[in-house]
Amino acid sequence: MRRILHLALHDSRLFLARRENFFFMFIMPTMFMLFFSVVLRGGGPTDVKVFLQVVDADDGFLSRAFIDQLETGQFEVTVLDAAAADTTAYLRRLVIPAGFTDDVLAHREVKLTLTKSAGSDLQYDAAAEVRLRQVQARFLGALVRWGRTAPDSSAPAAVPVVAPADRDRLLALLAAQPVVTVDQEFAGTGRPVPSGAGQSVPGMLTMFMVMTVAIGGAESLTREKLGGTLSRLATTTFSRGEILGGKLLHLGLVAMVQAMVLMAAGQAIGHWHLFGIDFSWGPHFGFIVLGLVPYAFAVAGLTLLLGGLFRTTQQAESLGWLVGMVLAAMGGCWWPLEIMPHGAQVAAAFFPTYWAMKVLHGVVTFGHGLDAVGLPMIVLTIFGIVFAWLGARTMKVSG
Amino acid sequence: MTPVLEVRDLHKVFGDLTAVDGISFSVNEGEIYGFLGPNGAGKTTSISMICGLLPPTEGEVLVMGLSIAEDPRGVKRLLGVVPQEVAVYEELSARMNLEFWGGIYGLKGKALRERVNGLLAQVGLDDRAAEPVKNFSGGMKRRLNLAMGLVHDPQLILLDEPTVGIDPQARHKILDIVKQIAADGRTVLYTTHYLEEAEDLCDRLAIIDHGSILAEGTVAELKAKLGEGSLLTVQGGFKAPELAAAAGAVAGLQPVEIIDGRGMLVVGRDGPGVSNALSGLFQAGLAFDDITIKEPNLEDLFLNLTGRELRD
Ligand SMILES: Nc1ncnc2c1ncn2[C@@H]1O[C@H](COP(=O)(O)OP(=O)(O)OP(=O)(O)O)[C@@H](O)[C@H]1O
Ligand SMILES: [Mg+2]
Repeated sequence: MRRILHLALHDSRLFLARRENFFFMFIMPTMFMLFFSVVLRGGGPTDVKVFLQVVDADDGFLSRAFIDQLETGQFEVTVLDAAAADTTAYLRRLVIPAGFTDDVLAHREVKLTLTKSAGSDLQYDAAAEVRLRQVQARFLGALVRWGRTAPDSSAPAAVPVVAPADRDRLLALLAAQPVVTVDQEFAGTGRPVPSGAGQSVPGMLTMFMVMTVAIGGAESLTREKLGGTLSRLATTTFSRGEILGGKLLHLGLVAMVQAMVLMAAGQAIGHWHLFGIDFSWGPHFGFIVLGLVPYAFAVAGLTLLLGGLFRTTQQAESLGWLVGMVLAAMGGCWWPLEIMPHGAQVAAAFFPTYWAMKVLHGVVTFGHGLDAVGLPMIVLTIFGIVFAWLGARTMKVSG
Repeated sequence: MTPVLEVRDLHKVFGDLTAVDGISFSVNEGEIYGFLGPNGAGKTTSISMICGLLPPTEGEVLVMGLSIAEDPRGVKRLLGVVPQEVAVYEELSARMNLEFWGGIYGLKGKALRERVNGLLAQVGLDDRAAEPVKNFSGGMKRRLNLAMGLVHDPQLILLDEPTVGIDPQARHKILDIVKQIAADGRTVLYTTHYLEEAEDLCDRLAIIDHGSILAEGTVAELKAKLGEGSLLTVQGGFKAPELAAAAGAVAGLQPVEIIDGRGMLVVGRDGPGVSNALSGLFQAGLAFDDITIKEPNLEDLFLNLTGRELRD
């Protein structure tokens, strides 16, 4: 073991002696983390008004009252008349049909339609639906308390007339506090779908652990393989197992150092609220580090395999990037997995990044202890064993 | 006395290609043993099997009586290998490279520092020891490459073409170091395709081609194989068959290589003598532009054995 450590520390010194690795390890990941946190900073739709375009084809006093309700119900409303509807783009659109006011007063069924464009955000769509139901319930409640009886249906299609005093009574009912309200909250310290820095900080950490090691590590492994230092090592008293063990340990160490760098960066960003970003690793700092060890092992094994497969250092650099990118995207490092299609969510389980994100979200976002991340840690260990085994078979040490 | 290195009937087959085809030899303590052969002769493949990098298809390697197959670690402890391709860590300084390599063999502290300083001085890199190796010239890298194989003071040193591609001055430096190592009682296996080096350096040598040893012995013994005759090289406007016919008519004149316009012939000691041989050729009516007469060297022996030049 001491001999393996000797090799691993030597390799790590070599790794840091290359200036580009230094850049990839310290500067770039921190910048990315900051950038993504700023871009995704929003904090989710709970605190923010949701855009809603309303096409008011009715333009009656009830449709206007309904729109007022939308505005107080945390919608950012733009109102269009029916004529402008065809030529105006929208994210979410609610159509109030012509005759809305009359139909309601006549106790006839009316249908409002909510349409979402392809470009709308799923989280905000969900929030819009919930808020729309709240507005609908309050509106109906007010109508019930307003208590106008249905007009005589046998009467010839008379347009119901509402006295101004009656109107004011309805508006007052709408403005009053509702009798029953439902507040919604999410369990845990975060939201079920992590967003903002809660997504980007763990995401960038997971991504750069694999990127830094896969690119830098596979490149230096390929270089050693081609440059003859690896086979030269094999002429010494070191066995093949010790040499590969040293490489694995070195790659795992680099992954853990990268993790530490980004944990510190995330903590600093959250601590100083840089660009208004809100983030904390929570109380289980030690668990996070421990939880990342099997991921570092998986990343090291994967890199050994890549180093065994690549034939040139250029391949290592370009394909290393590609592998890192695919792993990051599929594991949910860039965006929450919940917003990906079902097939992609199923496929994600075959990527170690997915399980690393599970560890981080488990501990950081939901504040669970290590017990809750046992399964992902075991899966990551299995990934590590399989990759390392394949890597050891692929890597040519002697000549 | 057990030889330091004993190689028995070594074979290596790569698919259809037999790279090493039954090599046997032994090297005694303090000897410099040369492996002389052209590109692709099987020198590197042999070295790789001797140092345990490649498993032999057949045959056995013993270092100080230990079998590499049975006790790889015991054997590797005794070996210093200097690979044909420079294999150093380019980002590190010469000193760090040597310290790492010494550390691999368990040297540390003061002993390691002193050894590294001594080697740096010996290979003439002491004034550039702190610079990253990537700044070094090819010759400097070669000298470091050599020093890295010596850092643990091995009993048997395997040098695979350590002087390829460097200037004469750096080459002399390396040859001097190799002589010094042998003078210190270490044993050296030295591969090369430079005849002058082999002649100058090696106590004994093997001429190897297509994976087989064609001839083995001291330089003097090998030269004697050509017979102590003279070598006659003629050039002129003749066709190969014309010269062959003319040479065939002179008893004791051996053709070595004859092509259109050029021929190399050995005048054996028991043969007609150089002037008789020449007049025999003139009588055949051939026109010569150039005639050289010289004592044979290893180059000629190689040509004689293989029918081709040592260098491509
Ligand atoms: N790993 C390998 N796989 C297949 N063929 C190989 C392998 N290594 C060497 N050879 C072949 O074996 C033969 C001997 O190669 P080797 O490298 O031993 O020659 P060499 O005498 O060292 O030549 P040089 O002077 O060019 O270094 C060559 O034909 C080479 O192509
Ligand atoms: Mg060779």
